[in-house]
Amino acid sequence: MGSLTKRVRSTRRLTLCAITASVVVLSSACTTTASDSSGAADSSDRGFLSAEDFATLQDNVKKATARPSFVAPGPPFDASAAKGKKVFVIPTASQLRQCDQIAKDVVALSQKVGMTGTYFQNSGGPAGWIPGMQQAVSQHYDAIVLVCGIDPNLMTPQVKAATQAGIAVIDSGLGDTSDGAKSDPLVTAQTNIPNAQSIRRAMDVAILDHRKEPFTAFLITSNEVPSSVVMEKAIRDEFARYCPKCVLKSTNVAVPDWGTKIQPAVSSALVSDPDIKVVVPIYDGMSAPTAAAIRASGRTDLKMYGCYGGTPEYILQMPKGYPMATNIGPSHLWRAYAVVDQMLRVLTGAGAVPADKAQDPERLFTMDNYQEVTSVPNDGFGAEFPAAYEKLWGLS
Amino acid sequence: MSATEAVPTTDERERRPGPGGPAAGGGFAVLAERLALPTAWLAVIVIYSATTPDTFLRWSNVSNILGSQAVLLMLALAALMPSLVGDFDLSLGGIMGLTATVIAKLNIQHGVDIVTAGVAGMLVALVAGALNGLFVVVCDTNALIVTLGMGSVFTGVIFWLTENNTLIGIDPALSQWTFTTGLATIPLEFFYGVGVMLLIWYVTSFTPLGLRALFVGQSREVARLSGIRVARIRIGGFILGGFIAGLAGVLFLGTTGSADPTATAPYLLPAYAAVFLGATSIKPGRFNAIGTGVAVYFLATGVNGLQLLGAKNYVQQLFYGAALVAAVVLSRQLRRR
Repeated sequence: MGSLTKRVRSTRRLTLCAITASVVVLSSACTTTASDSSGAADSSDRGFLSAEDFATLQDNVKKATARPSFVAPGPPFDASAAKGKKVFVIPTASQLRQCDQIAKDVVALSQKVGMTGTYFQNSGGPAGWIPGMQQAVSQHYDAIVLVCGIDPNLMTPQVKAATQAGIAVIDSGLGDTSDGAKSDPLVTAQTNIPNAQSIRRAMDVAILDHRKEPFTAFLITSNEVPSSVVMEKAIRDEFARYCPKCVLKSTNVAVPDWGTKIQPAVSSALVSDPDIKVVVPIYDGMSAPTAAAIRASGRTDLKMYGCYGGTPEYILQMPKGYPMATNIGPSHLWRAYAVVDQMLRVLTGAGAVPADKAQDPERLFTMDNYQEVTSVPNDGFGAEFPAAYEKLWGLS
Repeated sequence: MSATEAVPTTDERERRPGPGGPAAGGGFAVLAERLALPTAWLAVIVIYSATTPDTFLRWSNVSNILGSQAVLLMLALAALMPSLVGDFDLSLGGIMGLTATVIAKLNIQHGVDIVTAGVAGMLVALVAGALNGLFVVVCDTNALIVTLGMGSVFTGVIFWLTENNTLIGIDPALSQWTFTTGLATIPLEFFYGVGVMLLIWYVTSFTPLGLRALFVGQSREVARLSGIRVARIRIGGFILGGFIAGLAGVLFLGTTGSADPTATAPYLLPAYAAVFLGATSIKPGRFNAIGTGVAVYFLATGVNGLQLLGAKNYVQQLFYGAALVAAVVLSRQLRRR
């Protein structure tokens, strides 16, 4: 009886030890995994990405989503010499919310330095811009600011007439900072923007989100807009570098057709290729009809990436079921400060900033930081830059 | 120029007395003319089913074709209203956009609930249609010129109300009532469009009002001598056109969730293309609701198939234009037989 009791106790101890040992082994395994994920992710977590690429993409996204800090585009100068001068501001199309707001901000900032600013409302295209150019020349303005990449070559006679009349023509967003320092000879100065770099960061998020296996992405472009061509090339480059087995399909929809043609084009693409995992409307202005097509498909796994624009109204829809995973773009106010800075440098003889120098930052918004659009001043870009610019101009 | 001058006039065979209607009187040729467009539609379906068997006939694609064109169907039906009584209204894209803008402005920027905002938007559409009727009919002016001008006025009001910006963030309930909810995965807005189409078909085919509208559309003088109140019928055409264009604006708003001040104007030409294409079918030589609906979906099916085949956008434009020209020329030739 006593030996039986001993055997039972011995068996219980053995069982207890075995369970304890198992728990310890499992715990250590879990600890090891947690340790790995905090350092280098294991290969199953990285999917098709190498450890180096995975870390690079994560770092890219982390930097792009962080709040930018101010970097002076050039040396300080005295902006008071521009006092009393007149500037005429033409947005690429007034219905594009960010561009329209940048143009209005340029007018307001010009008035802040003692200039007279005139905003010219138009519906886009040479037919919309040319009357503005002629008005500025006939009324002897000192500067014309073209906002959001108006191509001066589409109205060469008017731009030449302006510069020959001694009017400084400043083109904001005409080229990409990756183009190098070359400027369009038609204009007096230009401020380029990092479109290519921005859309790359949005694609980094798409690749990280779908890193389990190579996927198909569907791009919507508007090739008549120069930045669209630049951004499509950047997207293809980014995929070639980090996901060479991914497939990129695309459709080109002209700006006036966004309302009528994007939705059926995306719907048909989703039907013809169920493997599409990512939809990339290059501009956030394309996102409403794209979102409609995604909703109509009934696929809840599909999201929009890309969406260049930084329009706060779209970003704020992200937590409300709007299938937008990324939105990247400038702060309209910061961009306006950058343009006015360039204009003032030209008008006061301080010398224009080279075209390849990024003058205002862009910020990536995802589901992790969208709330900063409202919680942080200036649409998530902070309150530092206005004072910094005004100090640079000698106003404070 | 009146709308009836732009398309073949009433087929004589339609007016033949006796049982059996036109098919009985005109024989196979008449039947072939009536069914030419539906047959072409069927042919397009067969061709695409053969060339893209894995995707074209998939239910999700059928749902896509039907659902994605509901806004265009509604605007085409709006364009049908003045056309039926011999008028044109080139401001319908503007009325559609104005309705969407008013609703979005009230709902997004002023916090008005979506139902009240919707009612206000539809009232604006009615008033816009009535203004067109007033200027064209009461002031006896050219419909093309007046509605072109009114379209510019409506567009100007849209830009003024929106400050040229897209209004974003409409109440999601509107999208649920129109687009995101479906029957057999087909968005509800398709059924709204079909409902309006059938209503127009019934009224124009089986009621005295429809007959009077037909008389006015064919010959205003004859209609006037027959005791029909021509002015009232024509004004009614503009008001109903405005109202249905307003409905198209509501569907557009529900579909995209936003009001883009420039997005609605491009719908006008495809809408009129469908109206004219529809006039070559079902009741050849006469604007009709079923023909318009068939035309909308014939064009949509053609474009969808091209998209599935990977055709570039310009090929779709070619298809749209060529289909319209071919249909009108063919109809004209048939009428001359």
